[in-house]
Amino acid sequence: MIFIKNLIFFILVITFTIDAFFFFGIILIFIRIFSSQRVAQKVLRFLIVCYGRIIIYGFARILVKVEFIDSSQGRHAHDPCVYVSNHRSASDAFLMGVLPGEFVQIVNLWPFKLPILGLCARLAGYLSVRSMPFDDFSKECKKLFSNNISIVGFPEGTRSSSSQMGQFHGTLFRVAKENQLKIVPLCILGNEDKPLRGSLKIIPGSVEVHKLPAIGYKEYKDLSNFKFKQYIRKKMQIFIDQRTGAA
Amino acid sequence: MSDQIETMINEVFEESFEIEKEDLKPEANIFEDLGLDSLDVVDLVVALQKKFSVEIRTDERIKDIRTLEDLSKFIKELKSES
Repeated sequence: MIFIKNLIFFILVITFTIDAFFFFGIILIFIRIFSSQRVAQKVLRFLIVCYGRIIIYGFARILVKVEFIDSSQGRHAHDPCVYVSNHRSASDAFLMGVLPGEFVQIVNLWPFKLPILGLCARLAGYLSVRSMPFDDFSKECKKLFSNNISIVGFPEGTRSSSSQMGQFHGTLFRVAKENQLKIVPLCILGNEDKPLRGSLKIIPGSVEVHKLPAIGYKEYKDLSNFKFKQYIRKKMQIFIDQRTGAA
Repeated sequence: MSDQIETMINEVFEESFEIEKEDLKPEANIFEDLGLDSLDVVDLVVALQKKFSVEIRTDERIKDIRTLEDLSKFIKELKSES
């Protein structure tokens, strides 16, 4: 039964992805003809979020119930911020579709090589920390923040094999500090077998995406760059441990 | 001399990164156990250069350093060369 559900899910996703690519592509070409690149990118990012939500709240319901739990305590939705998430599954990038507002994902190099999705990521201006030196990356982020665009990334860099998060890379934290922005931690729970590591098989169950309270500049400004990332990591790990019963 | 270098390296980690003394074991991996990344390494190099009055930034051997023990050996070599 799980195999059949997985099969149906992937047929729906592949069909939808190809259809959406052409349909959204036509919309974007028209928008680009009559407006600026900025408007076209904004629309594309919105369409990517719609695509993600249709998959996670629509097709994925055959197998998985996704719940977004916002505990951010009223962070203004239009302020740009830096979202940092734990990373356990290949589906995590899709789960970011639950987030409000306009954002750009910070990804590794390989997602750009994916058919269709890679092209969309490139056109939407997604950034790779591995493709440029820190100073250039920081300048790119600054441009995004000045347009009220948030960034979303996975500071572990690679998927962790247990609920214990890997060490954090400090790039996103340094960018947040330079721009005096809030850090918003995200903790994804229940995603480790959706799909299983090294496989496409999705085990039925539920996934929770928790948006933790934002950490403002005043709270972290006196911390060193190293201490800052460790501080956020510890907060996230405590939350994960509490929720998974590991505490 | 050896103990003194190790103590001074530990001081750098305590002062610059606020890492607890009990975590600073010779076999501790600077990246996986202590949590430094490539950007932190730049800060570490600056702090070590200041502490030991040596030039580290351009030395290729720094790329092979993984543990505190490796770092200690490297600093000892640098000191003996100068």
